[in-house]
Amino acid sequence: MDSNQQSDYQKYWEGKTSLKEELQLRNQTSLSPEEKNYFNQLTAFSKLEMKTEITIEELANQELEDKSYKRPLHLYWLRIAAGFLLLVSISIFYNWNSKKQQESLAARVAFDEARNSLLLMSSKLNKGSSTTTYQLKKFSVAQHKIRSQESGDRSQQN
Amino acid sequence: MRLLIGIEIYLSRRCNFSYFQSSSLQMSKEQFTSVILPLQHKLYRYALSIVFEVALAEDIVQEVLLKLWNHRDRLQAIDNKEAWCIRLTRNAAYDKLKAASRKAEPIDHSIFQLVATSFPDQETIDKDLIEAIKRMMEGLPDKQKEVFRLRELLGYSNAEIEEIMALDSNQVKVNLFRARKKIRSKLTQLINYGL
Repeated sequence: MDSNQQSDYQKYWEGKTSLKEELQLRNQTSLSPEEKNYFNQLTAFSKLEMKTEITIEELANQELEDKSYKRPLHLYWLRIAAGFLLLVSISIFYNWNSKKQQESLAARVAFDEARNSLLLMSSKLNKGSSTTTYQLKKFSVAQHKIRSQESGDRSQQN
Repeated sequence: MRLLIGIEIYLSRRCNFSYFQSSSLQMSKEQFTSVILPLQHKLYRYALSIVFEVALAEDIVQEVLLKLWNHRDRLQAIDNKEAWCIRLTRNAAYDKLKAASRKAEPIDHSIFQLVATSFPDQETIDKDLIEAIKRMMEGLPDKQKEVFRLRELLGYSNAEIEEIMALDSNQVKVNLFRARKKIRSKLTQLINYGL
């Protein structure tokens, strides 16, 4: 391989060659068998063709066949109806769910209110009962004192 | 425009109607025959370099051409039809690969079936060649693989690759350089150690 060819190959491997130069390189003979094989394979692959060419008539026939099969129209309406039904059911579920949540929230608020008022009532009752007990105690002490005074007076008179 | 076309294709698929249908955009049978159909072998090689299976690559090309034919009323609006076809083929090929991996069928299986049918010699040669190209591209990252495919197997210039892959010129050069470097190191191993 002369120095020109060698530099051309170097340029090729560095990706600096044009398509035209590459075509010329592929046809040169002063290469190692492996490199020759590499370029031969690329060239052979670039020449591969379909065994049977597709013609315009085939495509037209295929198109006619495809057109002859039309998807029934009711399928489109069925899809739209199914989509609509899905939307309606989602909205109904959402409404039902939010209503249920609102109801449970209202019940919770009412329960809290009732509990607070009962707590208030019981605290007032507790306060009232303790005052009454105190007063009753005072009353019984006073009663006891009067009774003992009366019994002392009687014993003096006798 | 491409986005509009994409939306339109989707709508027309779903509802069987077209917004843009007009005679000025419609591609004639003759135009389709002269512009799109000559690309079929190139598209076949491209699909083959992705799926590495003859029958599958042919199916992909048939599918892509049929899709293009069915939407020929919108093809005139596309500037670079070849790049568009390549992109459609790439998407179709990767879809097929995904479907094949979901089915968990080894793709190479059908190559052996094919070999056993007609023209055994040529098919064996083709099979060996496809296997060799597959081995060559093994281990390359996706971008490098794609640049290598477009440049070495389909003969596109760097400028065309930039357009097809939506990359800038530096990215194309770097990916091509790295891909060739890796392949060269494989060749060196083969020369030096017979690996």
